[in-house]
Amino acid sequence: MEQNVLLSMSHITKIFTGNRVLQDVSFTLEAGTIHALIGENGAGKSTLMKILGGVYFQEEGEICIEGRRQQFTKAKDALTAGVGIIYQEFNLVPTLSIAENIYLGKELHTSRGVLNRKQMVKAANEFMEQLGFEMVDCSRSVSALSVAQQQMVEIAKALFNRSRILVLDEPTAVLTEKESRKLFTMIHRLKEQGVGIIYISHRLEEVLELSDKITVLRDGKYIETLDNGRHQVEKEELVRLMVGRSLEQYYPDKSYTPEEKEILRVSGLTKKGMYRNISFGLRKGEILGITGLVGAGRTEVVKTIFGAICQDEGTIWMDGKEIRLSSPVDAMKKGIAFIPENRKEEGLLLDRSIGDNMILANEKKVSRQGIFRRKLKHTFLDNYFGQLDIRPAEPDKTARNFSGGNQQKAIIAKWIATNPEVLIVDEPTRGIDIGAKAEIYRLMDMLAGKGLSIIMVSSEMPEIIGMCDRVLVMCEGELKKEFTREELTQEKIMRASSGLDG
Amino acid sequence: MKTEAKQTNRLAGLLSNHRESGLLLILCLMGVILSFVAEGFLSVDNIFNILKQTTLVTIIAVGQTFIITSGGIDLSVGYSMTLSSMILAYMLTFAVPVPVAICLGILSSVLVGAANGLLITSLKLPPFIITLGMSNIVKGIILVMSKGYIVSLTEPFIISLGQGTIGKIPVMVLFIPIVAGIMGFVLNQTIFGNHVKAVGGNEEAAVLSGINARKVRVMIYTLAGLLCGIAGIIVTGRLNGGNPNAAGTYDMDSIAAVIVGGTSLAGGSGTVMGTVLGALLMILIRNGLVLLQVNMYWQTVAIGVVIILVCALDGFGRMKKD
Repeated sequence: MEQNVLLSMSHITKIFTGNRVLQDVSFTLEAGTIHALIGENGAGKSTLMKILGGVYFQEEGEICIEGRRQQFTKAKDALTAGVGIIYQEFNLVPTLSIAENIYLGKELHTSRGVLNRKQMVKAANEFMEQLGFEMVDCSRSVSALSVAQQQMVEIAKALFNRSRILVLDEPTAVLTEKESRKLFTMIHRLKEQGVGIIYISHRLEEVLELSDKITVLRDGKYIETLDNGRHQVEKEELVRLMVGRSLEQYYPDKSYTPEEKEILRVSGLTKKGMYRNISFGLRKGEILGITGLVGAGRTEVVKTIFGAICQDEGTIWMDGKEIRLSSPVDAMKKGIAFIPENRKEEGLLLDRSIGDNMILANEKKVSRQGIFRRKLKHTFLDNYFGQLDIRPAEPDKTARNFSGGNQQKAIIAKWIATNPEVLIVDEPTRGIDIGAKAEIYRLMDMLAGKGLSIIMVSSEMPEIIGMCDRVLVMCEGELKKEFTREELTQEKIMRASSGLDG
Repeated sequence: MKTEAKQTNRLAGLLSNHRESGLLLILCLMGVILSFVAEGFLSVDNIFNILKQTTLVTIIAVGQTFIITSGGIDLSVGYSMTLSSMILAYMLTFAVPVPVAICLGILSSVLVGAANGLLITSLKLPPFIITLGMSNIVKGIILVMSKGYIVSLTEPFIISLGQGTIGKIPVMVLFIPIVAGIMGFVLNQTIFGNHVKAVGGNEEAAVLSGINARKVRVMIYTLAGLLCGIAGIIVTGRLNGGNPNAAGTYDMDSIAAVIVGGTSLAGGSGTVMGTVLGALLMILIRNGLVLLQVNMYWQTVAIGVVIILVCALDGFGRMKKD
């Protein structure tokens, strides 16, 4: 194995304003292996990868690629050395075509800088085929592609740059189950072609299934590298290594049962091109899951209940009375709150302080006659920071600088402060580390215990199974199945969401 | 499967050109209406008159198209053009040979553009701020040089650029197809044009692909400066000399032409053809209103309405598609 070492990062130390965010971390990647890098947020995974990508520079330690010592001073150096990093935010130019993106910076030309588009599209198509990517025509504009397809283009672009080291940072966070499957097949194919793959993910099931080796980081330190060549590693072990203690369970024990009283009912909800004939009820204190593949119409249905989409047909009742919603403001007045899936784009003003974000829907509570009162603000923020354990407890800090988990807690705080009767959460734990996930689950459980009714849209099976009293499965705009907590299994959900049953 | 992909592709191509064809349609409609209601509209003289009025704003707006496509904006184009004109006029009064004087005039605008680009990329300030500042600096320099006085010229070659004709065709009008043709090709068919779109569409992606975004930006502003310089030479001929007030409303008019033409203010995509049509539409409407003897001030109101209307129609069309 030793001669196949593609990359070795040894004794890397990185200091940010006096804090050692990485301390003596070593990492080795062999050709033709999938090596997972895991750890909670703040464990140092991203920093380590940014050093590899030439974005940050280490204070100590060295990087060798295929035996040659490397000194990266900018991102381009890393690219030239054969490191392709696929970040969560894609680096594609949406207005250009797939071929133009792949060839960006090394365009084919006929003479004197005149583009040869035809040749670029042809070669790009061939390259895609050679990689075995199921692909659309490379002359199409990137903005017209789905997220999964854009990710494919990113990967193809990296490989086109002759990257032999491919870093995938949370690649499945934006994909559906089905798309993830496709990605895994592709990763395996690349592995066979001798590419070394560094795989970063919060989803431990994936990590266990996919990787040959797993390296765990915690608090900026190297903890252990496990051999998973025969899938022998246990999830419990990973969790223990990551958090440094055993997490008995991330899902809270359900200590209560929902009341019989139905608080919300929708019937015959139809929106052309989005969903058809959706009917269900929600009881007080119930956590109702809605799952299915992305694009099944889940988000559209809950957005309708929040008044952001107007249904063509069907009615919504609340407390037995029909309600008509023409905007989210109407829904909020009726006591419906919605936490969107896209935390960074729809949920937060990233450049404002986290406190300002929390106050946004609660201005009346912290003001008198339209004028903000400092004291009320403090009491309000102290209360919710304490109640939800938002860390660091600095309301004036910019939202951007909080971890995903704490951002999400702040958004939840903002909405529960409006005293809603129904809380809708769309993918509540996307891109959040295990510790924070567990806290959010506990929080939702606690709120449901207090009588709040929750609708949770999620693609993550374990959380649907672990959290919900009842689960609705959608497929292609229709409600396919309903399961109670007792009947739920991963397989049943999978079959229903891919339309295999009924 | 493949034909299907090809078909959607063709459709997408049609839709992306949809703004240009839409504008062309509006232009033709306006032309037909005006030829009925406005006496003297449909004469060769008047058509060339419209084209003459379109020439300067088109040349400047083509440069502005590149800048806006790259996600920037240039508020100094009007005075950059004026500077070129003033330098040319002064050089000629100092008996500098005509070709040299022209080159020096154009060079002054190129330097203004390059300075814009260098300042934007090195100070990392928004183009709005830098070019707003630059506009005032250049305006001030012009006023210091000229003390506000016009520099009259009689140089026949320069005058012929602004006022001469070849047969019936005014010389200056020929600049529209030449500039638009070359620059349209540059934006759509060359590597440089691709990089302009890439930098405007996603600068980080461009940089990570090995594109020197800084260099591209400096080149874009310099190129816009070059076009302002050329416009400056023509305006000198048209006004019989250097006029410190030549800048007029060219800054805003050029931006309006670009936006009406369908180039996105957000950057990433742009169309030179659209810009030419946008400029033409605005001048056509103004010309029609003049012929209909509408009060000059109301003409300005009408132009404003057109800018909002065209963009709103486009936005509405897009919303419907979604």
